[in-house]
Amino acid sequence: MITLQTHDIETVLTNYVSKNILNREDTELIDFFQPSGGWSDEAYVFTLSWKENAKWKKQGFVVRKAKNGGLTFGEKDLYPQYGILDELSKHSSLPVPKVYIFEKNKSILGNEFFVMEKLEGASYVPWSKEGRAFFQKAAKGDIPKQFVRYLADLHTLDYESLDLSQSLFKGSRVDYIDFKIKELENVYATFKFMDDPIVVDGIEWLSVNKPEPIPLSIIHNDYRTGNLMYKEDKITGILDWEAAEIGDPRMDIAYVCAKANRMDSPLLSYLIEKDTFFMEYKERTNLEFSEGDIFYFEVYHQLKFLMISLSAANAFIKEGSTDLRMARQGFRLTLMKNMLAELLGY
Amino acid sequence: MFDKSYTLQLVNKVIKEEIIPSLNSSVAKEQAIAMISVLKSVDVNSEQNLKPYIEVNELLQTELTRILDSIEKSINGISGNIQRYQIQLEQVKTIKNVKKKWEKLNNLLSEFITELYQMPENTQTFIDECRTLLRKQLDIEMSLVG
Repeated sequence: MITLQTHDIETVLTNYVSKNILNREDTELIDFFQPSGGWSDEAYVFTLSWKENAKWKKQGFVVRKAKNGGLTFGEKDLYPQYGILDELSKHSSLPVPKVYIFEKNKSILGNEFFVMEKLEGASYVPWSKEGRAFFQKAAKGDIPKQFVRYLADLHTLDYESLDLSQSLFKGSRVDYIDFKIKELENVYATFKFMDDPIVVDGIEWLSVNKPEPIPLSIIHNDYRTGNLMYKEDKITGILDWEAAEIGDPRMDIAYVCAKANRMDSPLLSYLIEKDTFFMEYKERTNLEFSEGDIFYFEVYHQLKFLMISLSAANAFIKEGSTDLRMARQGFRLTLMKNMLAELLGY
Repeated sequence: MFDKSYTLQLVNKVIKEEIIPSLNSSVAKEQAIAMISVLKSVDVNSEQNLKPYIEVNELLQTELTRILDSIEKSINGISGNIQRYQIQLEQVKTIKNVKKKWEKLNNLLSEFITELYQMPENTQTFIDECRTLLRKQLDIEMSLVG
């Protein structure tokens, strides 16, 4: 594997985008940064400028690259994410970035990557001081309505009319939940250090309490306030589509409700009251679901959060990852188990 | 939880190879270099905290024995399986190594919970009893989270 320093990455990406997207050689890099975060993928954000008809023009780009040794949950494949963004940016009104190119040649940047449009606006970590202040204000404006509307629009999109990667399909309407339970079991079997009775209880509970299946739709699977971009009183972008799939829409609804995505806030995802969210979502989708259904998928998500901690612990102990966030997350495994136990009533 | 020496050695590796080269302030560099030395000393001057594991082992041994006895008396026709768990539990009780015993007890309890869910009889009462036990176990193990 090649390791590039920041300066090399700047040069490589400037040349790559100039040649393959802008089709010119006279570009200049005017800003470049690597956002922190990136548990499973890495991102680079930069702006190029050039002179055209005696005027300076500029364009922003974002590169998303698969990360070696990051957190994994199932198969790691960047292409479906590129594919779904391509389809949604062309065939929906959702604020998703336009994608330009998918590069399979790993020798350029050390792994596969794709280039997409840089959207306007900013994103916020909801539990940070800045994020809390932003969402406290945003909750009083139009953003909560847009938050519901975009989720409802995604779920009511006719996915069969789109050209989506087969890897996004995780079973049929009837066996989707079985597929997801099996996926959890496989991740658990891969990363566990020993049998854990709380995880076993959670998985068995999911197996015997499955809700009736409903029609599937495109689901984001990580739809939370921290994965959106905002400008003034508008949501300007929906990001991080790496977990998107054709699945049960109640999965996304429960994710919005998950305690891990609101912690001590009385509002779902730090943004909206539960009753308002349910009412507006149902009005827009005509989808019926019970609180019990949503609870079921909340348990699923809590188990998934737990598996992510387990995967992090595995990366730290067995793979010797020097990303200390893995160690921190691994130590939090007990906290994740505690949250699952509390959710299940003990 | 994770081995103390392994964790501290890895933290030192990150400070040395990733944090120090990216520091621009000579004061911060000096502090980070000192931190490596301090963490090495903390490692050799402290022991892995095994107390919560010992507590959990005692709890699981006692409570599992009681639950297995209780289920044996309550549900007819499955005594064979229960006896198998009782025998396994007696074997685990003889293990001296604290962490190994903790692992074996967790394995046994996991296997038992799976079996409770799969039994044709109504076993909810026993699942609830196991959950009460798991809550007590969690309360002890939460002391290991910083």
